[in-house]
Amino acid sequence: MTTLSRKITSDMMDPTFETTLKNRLGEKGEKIPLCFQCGVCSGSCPVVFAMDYTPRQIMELIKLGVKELVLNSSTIWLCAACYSCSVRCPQGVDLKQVMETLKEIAIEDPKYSRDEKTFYEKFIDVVKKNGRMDEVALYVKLMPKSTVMRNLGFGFKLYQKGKINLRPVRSNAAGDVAKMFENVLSEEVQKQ
Amino acid sequence: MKYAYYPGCSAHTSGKEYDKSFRLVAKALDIELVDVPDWSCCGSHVTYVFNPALAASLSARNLGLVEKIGGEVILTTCSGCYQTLKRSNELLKHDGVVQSKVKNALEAINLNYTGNVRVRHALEALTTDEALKAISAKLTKPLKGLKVAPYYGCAIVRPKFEDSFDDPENPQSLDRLLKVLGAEPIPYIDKVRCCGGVLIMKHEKVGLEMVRRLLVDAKQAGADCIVTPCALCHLNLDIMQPKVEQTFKTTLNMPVFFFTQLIGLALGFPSHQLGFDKHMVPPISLLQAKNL
Repeated sequence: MTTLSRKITSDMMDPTFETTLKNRLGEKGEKIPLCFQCGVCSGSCPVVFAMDYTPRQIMELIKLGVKELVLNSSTIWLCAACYSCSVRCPQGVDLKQVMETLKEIAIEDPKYSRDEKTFYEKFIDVVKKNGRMDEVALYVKLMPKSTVMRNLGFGFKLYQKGKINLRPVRSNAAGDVAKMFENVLSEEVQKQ
Repeated sequence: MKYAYYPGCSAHTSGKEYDKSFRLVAKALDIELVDVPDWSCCGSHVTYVFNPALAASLSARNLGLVEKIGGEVILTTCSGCYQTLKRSNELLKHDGVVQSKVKNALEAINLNYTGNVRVRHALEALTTDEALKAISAKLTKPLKGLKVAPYYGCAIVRPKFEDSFDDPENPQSLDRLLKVLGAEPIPYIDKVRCCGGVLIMKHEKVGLEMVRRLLVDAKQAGADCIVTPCALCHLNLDIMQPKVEQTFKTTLNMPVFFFTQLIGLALGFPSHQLGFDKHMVPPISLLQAKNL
């Protein structure tokens, strides 16, 4: 996309948005320094062809405080977290960290509920349960049954090659991992 | 040389041959690997999106276990784990809030981590001057005539950490290794271009297009095959290759190796020990054509 596909109207603006984001990044030791819209990020992004707003446009929308367009954009979910933009930005913006923090904010707010959220939720579920990641367990949890069924032949081939297991791989320490989940997450509930 | 070895979750699923060939090669080069006892998921960048303190705790559990067995270095074959463990180490150094949360989480499982374990990648350990010399001395089957596209991926070179071992834009370690093995590293424009990683799960078409480009560029540059130090890149480039061919109605037939498999081949190990049978794109006819 080279032009914004929607007009920006005042009801989309949240004047506190940039500050909120800056504060959250600040907690992580990051800052949004002055983006001067050079576009090196968009030129470096390997997923830009599929995004509705380019990374450069997202940076400008943040500055304008157009929270709704930013958090509803496909861009934040399509960011593959490859850091190409981050290592090239002449102003030292860690844009990958910005995208990650935008994902965090969107995941916390039900208003910006998108199907992509489930990927993160299910991924965490698998680790919490097994102490390890297992691609098949994640795939089955994530995909509609019809998609899983459609790919059964492919799955069987992978099984024959020994690439996947019928049962999810479990760490001996799955219990310890679950305890750590409880510890970190319950502490945060208490804080709220 | 002795290392605490952290295989990462993919070593038991899609990247079994990576783990297997690495252990074989390490043994041949007199590198002793001690598995981190009862290791668990490092958290990955996915948990970081969900909750940074949780992600750092998951990493710290494994790093703490290394300290417990008296290790100073954790060695991993997985680029994702490498990046996440390094990131957690850095966060623990600079973020007091995360530090105290992680301390509490580890106390709940009777563990402690002082923050002093160094994270290294298997590619880093096998491409030091010393390691390359050892490989060169034991070479029995130079990979003569094999044109290889060195594909680093992103997590192994980015972000740039204080002690990163290679350049984020134009890394050279794999290129150097390939030369020592007698192969010909071709100039590959996509050597650090992202394969899409886990994107392919939720956005299959986008992921397939990203993989297609990497494969086509390698082919156009004259590569016989691709080599990578990343299990997730291998999953996308090899396992998903038939899907790319089907979706874009094209024939690619581009074998993708783990770098440890190529070292193993050059050290004289037979293909069945190196797990070539697990690849979706069989490399056997290519190797036969090159007398390897």
